[in-house]
Amino acid sequence: MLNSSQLRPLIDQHASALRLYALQWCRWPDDSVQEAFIEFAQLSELPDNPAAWLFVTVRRRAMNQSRSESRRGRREQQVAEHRRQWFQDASNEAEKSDEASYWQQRLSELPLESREIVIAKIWGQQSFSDIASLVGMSAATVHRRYHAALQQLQQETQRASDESCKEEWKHGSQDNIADRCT
Amino acid sequence: MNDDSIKATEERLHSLTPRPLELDAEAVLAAARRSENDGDSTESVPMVLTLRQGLSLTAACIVGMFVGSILTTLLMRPTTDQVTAAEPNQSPVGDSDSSNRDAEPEVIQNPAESDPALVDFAARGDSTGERALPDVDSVLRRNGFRFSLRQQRLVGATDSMGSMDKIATSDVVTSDRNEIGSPSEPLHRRDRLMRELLRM
Repeated sequence: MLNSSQLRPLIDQHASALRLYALQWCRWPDDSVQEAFIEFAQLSELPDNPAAWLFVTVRRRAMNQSRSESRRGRREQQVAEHRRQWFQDASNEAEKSDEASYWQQRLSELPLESREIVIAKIWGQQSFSDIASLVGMSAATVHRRYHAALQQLQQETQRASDESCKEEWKHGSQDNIADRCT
Repeated sequence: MNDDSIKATEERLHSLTPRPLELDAEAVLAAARRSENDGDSTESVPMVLTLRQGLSLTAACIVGMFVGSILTTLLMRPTTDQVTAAEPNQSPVGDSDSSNRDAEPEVIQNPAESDPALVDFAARGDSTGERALPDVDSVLRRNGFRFSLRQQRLVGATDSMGSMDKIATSDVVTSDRNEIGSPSEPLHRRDRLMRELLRM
């Protein structure tokens, strides 16, 4: 069994990303992540890529948990969906908070297959080949979906920005608009 | 869409920090040890089903038996392909004598060569009209073919009533009406049967 000095760096480095990843399937991601770490601690032999192993295990556990939750009540889950936050606010500024909820909203609009790839890549820092074995696709497909998802996010952001500029022009508040909307 | 804009999006996403998860390494290790110990101690404990699991298992068994009985019924049902030989003097009508069922069926070898009526039938091709009926019945009798119980009832009804319209609306075939479909269906069946015989 591992000791705490081996386990702690892994928790510090991956727990929050794993939590975000598990959140894509279940309501209580903390449980899935904790169980995965407990399972990891019980391994007789360490895997070659502990982070990849943890992502695979968290995914399986989160899916299992999701099945139990859906049996308990889908509606309850939908209500809880709106309450949980994916990202922490970088500061107390309102703008930062808006940024976090804005991206949470945009990301949640992506299909699950693309969303889990983006999360594993950006916050999990997994390689495309690791993600490919994680989600059961080829590395090329994962790469293509990742770029398509980022494109979709970028287009959404652009569209939102254009609409915001139009609104501001319409209402005559033209301070700094030229800088932002050109 | 250029790579710069995608990179910019990527960077904006990178700037977001997922909410932290408070997880204590010592607590995880303690839970792992506890879980391992629990696993050791429960190894020799026999499995006990909860009430819910028991009910689910019972329901699954009942459904399985139900599906099994349906499949058995469907598989055991006689079809027009199942033509067997019977006692030469046995009437094709009715199957009340259970000894008929026990008799070992004997497959007739190439009846077309031995019966001119069959040759005639084959030469006429797909005969579905009323005129073909007597020929078919006589051939079947002469060669001692035995139909399934349902087919025998149909043949018998054809003999006694003469008209297919009467047969289709009579009690004789009431139980088979769903399968008969139309008054001419018994004729079609018999013709199909004859063609199967000719191919033997």
